[in-house]
Amino acid sequence: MLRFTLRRFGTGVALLFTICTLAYFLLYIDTNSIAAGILGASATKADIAHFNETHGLNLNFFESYWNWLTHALTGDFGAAWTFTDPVSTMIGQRLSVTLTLVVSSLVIVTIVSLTLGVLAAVYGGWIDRLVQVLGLIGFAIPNFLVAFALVAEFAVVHRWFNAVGWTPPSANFNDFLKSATLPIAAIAFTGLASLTQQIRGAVKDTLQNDYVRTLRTSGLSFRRVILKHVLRNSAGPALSVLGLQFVGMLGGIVIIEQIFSIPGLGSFSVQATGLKDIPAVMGVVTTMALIVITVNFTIDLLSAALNPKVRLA
Amino acid sequence: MKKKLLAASVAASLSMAVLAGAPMAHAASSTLNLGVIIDVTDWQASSAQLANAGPYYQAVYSTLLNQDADANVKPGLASAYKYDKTGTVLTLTLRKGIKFTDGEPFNAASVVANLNAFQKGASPTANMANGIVSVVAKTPTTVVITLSAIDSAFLTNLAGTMGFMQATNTIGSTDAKSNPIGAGPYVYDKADSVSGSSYVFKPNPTYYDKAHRAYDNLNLKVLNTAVAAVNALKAGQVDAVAIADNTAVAGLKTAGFQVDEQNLNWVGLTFVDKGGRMGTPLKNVKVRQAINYGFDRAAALQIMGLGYGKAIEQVFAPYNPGYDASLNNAYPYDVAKAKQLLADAGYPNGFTLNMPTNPALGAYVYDFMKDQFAKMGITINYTATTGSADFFAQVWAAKWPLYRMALQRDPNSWSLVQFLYARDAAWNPSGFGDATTDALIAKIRVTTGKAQTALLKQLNTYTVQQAWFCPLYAPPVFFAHTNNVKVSLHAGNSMPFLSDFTK
Repeated sequence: MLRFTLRRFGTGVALLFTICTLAYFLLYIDTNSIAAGILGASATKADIAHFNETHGLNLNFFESYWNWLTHALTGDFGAAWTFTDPVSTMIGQRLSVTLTLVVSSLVIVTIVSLTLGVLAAVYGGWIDRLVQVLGLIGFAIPNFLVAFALVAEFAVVHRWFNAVGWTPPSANFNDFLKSATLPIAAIAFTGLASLTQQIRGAVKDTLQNDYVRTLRTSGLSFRRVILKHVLRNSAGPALSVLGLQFVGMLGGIVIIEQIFSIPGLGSFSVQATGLKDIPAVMGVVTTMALIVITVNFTIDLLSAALNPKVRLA
Repeated sequence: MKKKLLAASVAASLSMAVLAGAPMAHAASSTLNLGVIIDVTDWQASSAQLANAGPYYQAVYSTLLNQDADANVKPGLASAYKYDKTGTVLTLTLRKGIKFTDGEPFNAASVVANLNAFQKGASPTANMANGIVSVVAKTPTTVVITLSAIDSAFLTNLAGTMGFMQATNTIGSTDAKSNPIGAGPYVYDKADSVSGSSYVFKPNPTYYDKAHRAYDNLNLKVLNTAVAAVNALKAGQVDAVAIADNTAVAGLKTAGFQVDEQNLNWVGLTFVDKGGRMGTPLKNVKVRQAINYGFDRAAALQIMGLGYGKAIEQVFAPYNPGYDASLNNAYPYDVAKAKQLLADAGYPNGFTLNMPTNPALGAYVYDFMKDQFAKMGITINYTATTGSADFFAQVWAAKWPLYRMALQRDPNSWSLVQFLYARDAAWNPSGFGDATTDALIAKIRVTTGKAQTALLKQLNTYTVQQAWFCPLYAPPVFFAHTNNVKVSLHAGNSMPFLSDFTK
């Protein structure tokens, strides 16, 4: 297990370095227009030269990247060129918003998918058919359309929830619920389909096994068999899907944050990219890559713990 | 057992729906919830912007001079202002007893420090201060500003971004980028604000002009997209917001919102290579005139502008003194005439031009223009830029012989001349001019009133005849609000000033 862990960790570090290097290289291909774009129409050539000098844009790629990398390793992503606060501060603020949305969605997706998936697999019949239809709808409708529909009905018509904006839970929990419910529901909607189908299939397969029949005939209650044995043995594939869901949600949240005007990492990345703010973009890229790699690493470890055969892969 | 499992599952499924809250309370009458379509990036007065970012700065900073909704200059922190006979030395008399919200007194030294910071600052309008030779505090309430030459836009600029006064002790501090201290109508409440989402302002108890502060409190809500702006207004989260999505206007009007409209900008072609440095046929005035005749402006309005706005043939807007209604039919659509002019210029078989594209615009815009040029016999080769910033940089570097842009029409005519016509204008990237325009611009700079208006009309007429540009249409800028909000649109600015809101 230790060897497996170290191997996965090493792969993760190498991947992170590769992503950061590539991203920096792509941003640095054309630095000529950055100063002019940020300073605007009134900038003189002297203004642009001064900007390039003070922001390190006159350095070659390797010098510039080395400067950034050595600071980034200490957690210092530098000062944003176009935002009020340093990049680390901005990312800290924005990440908490994005993670609140994604983790809440993931919890809801897990609970609902688990419930529906198990019910569909165990009971079959109309419940199974209903779950299958809901799954199809979930696959077919993109989450931004769901977001528009939710806003139209629950924010504009009924005014139960907010159409835009964000209130942190620490500031006012009721306002947090008003601001977070619709985006969380929109993010969760599409996640439900694949996880529910995955759990349904895995539970159905597990229920076919002889040991389930043996457990039932040995006098164990149905509930105990499902919760303790069937679910445990169905968890592996579901866990992988859950990891993919998390990564997918992080990507998809860019659109959701834009629709709801939520100041998360997604909307920050859109702003920073549009402004060609290299420190801010690199901060976002590094953070996102780190999260994705960490999640995959954790899923790998959990899968290996649940199923020792994974360690041989 | 199965029933228990079913009950548990229903409960779990319902967990998604239990988060409903009470219906949203409407804003109190003394609070203005104003939508802003961009976030503040640097709150220092030396980085100030107007247009959509204006409310951030106007909330916390007062200006040396004020301007009403028609952009007429009025006293502000300076209760009086007077030029000397040369028109290059301006004396400001400051109000007494004004304090910044951190308790620091506002005086002549504050003005000196702020104007010096603005000259070196990151504001996109920092060039407003280029003509300042010196700023001297003669007494605690008297400031003398010496200019290198007459600048008829200078007072307006002191009532705009250049006039914002920030507490002197905070100038240049890192904290001031996100926590501004001024002497404006409101005090920023950082604790109750959510960066990037909503900015909360409380009334400044020592504000000098409380009679003109229409609302006691102000909330600025950041709305990143046009969809978010419309939804926020419909959901009652904001009382007013600029509408960037023209297609939403009809729906908002039907829903009972007031939608005000201004034609602030112009969309069209700028001929960069009028001087012929790039060796293109655009040096020939007949070629430029041909393109003006060959563009179907009515179709441009429908296709490029989606039907919103007005077809135009001159850059000057009706609110500019240099506007001349007789120029409105200067180039009626006539492809045959366009081809004849091209033949007269020595291009009977047309020619090829290279042009940059901005990916922020839909392909239909460029397809339409290419088609229009093709009807005249001109082939257009497009080169894609990587984004707006790249597009602007390439345009400013005079890399292309012509480009398509939407540009503002400043209500201050001298500002418009500096912006578009002067050799050093930001949007005259090749620095083109001739003896006629040089002479007119030199005279416009040092005249005022009717004499200046006559010269502006001459400049406008001459540049239309010389086909400096190919204006196509003036798109509207919409500002929507509830019926409870009383507001006047501000001449030349896409967002009303906070002072344009009334009780």
